Amino acid sequence: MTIAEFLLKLANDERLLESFKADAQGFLRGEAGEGLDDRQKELLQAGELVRLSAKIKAEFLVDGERIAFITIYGPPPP
Amino acid sequence: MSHGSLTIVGTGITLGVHLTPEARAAIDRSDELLHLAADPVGEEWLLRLHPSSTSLRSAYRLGEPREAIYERIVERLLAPVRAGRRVTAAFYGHPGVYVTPSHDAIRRARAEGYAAHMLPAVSAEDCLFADLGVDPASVGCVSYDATDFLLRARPVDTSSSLILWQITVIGDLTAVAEPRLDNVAVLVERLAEHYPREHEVVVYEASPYPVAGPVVERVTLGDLANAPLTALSTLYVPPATVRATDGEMAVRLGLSTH
Repeated sequence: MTIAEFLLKLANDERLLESFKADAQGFLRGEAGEGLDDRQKELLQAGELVRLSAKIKAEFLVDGERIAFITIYGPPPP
Repeated sequence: MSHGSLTIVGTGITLGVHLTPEARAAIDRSDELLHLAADPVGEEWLLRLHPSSTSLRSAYRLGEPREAIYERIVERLLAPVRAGRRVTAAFYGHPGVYVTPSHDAIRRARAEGYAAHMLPAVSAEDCLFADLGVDPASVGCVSYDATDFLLRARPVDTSSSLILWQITVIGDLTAVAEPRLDNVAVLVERLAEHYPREHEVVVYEASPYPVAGPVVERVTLGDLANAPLTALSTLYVPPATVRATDGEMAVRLGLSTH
């Protein structure tokens, strides 16, 4: 299971998310953590946005593909 | 054929938990969901939220002016509306805060006679207030796009909070894949005309994931150009001075007798 898939599970189930927040380590040791390796679990428990984002992007990237930042605002040009 | 309509919603910042019941209901009753998430997990989540769900990510072409990309997005939103579909468009954050195509699409849809409206949502600024413990009411707060702040020499009030957005694309109005950091030094130079270089500023990024905290990097203004900046970094500049009370006004308002 990828970290992205794990996050999607949590995003769709408030009860699971609350359990994770209450005790991330215990939660990942149980059934919900099956399919995740130790490194993925460590990343999820650490909850550091920069590392987590990098890992998630890597899960989605194919062959060094470059993806545009999804900026949705631009100031008026001069 | 039913008359088309456009509803624009925001997903908030944090995956899943920020979507309001009102926005969810709008998505559920629409014929089509078009969306833009800031990251791939958000996009995947939105793709599963509605049977007819399409990402607008393909509208982005690296190096192309963002104005052209936003125009393409507006047209993609309006095409099904014109075909009589009830369309919901979801943007990450608040759909009306630092979002160009949402406002443009609503204006144009209304001008063409279609029902169009926007629902409020949780913006990155809302997250910043919560995560940094900043109340914009206490000393006032002004926010600008960083490029606009520099380009138009926007006024600086050092007694209020200042929030600068899109500091990693300063001076670049095209779609980019990597942060543009070369102009951060220009921003530092401008801010240093008003604030001491030792003044502590905060590089902030709200967390899109409910299992992660935000990025909160406290650095001095002079060190900002060397700080670790992420694609979605925002700069928060706390006040550096205290504005004195206008005594005459206090008397006029009945708040003081002398």
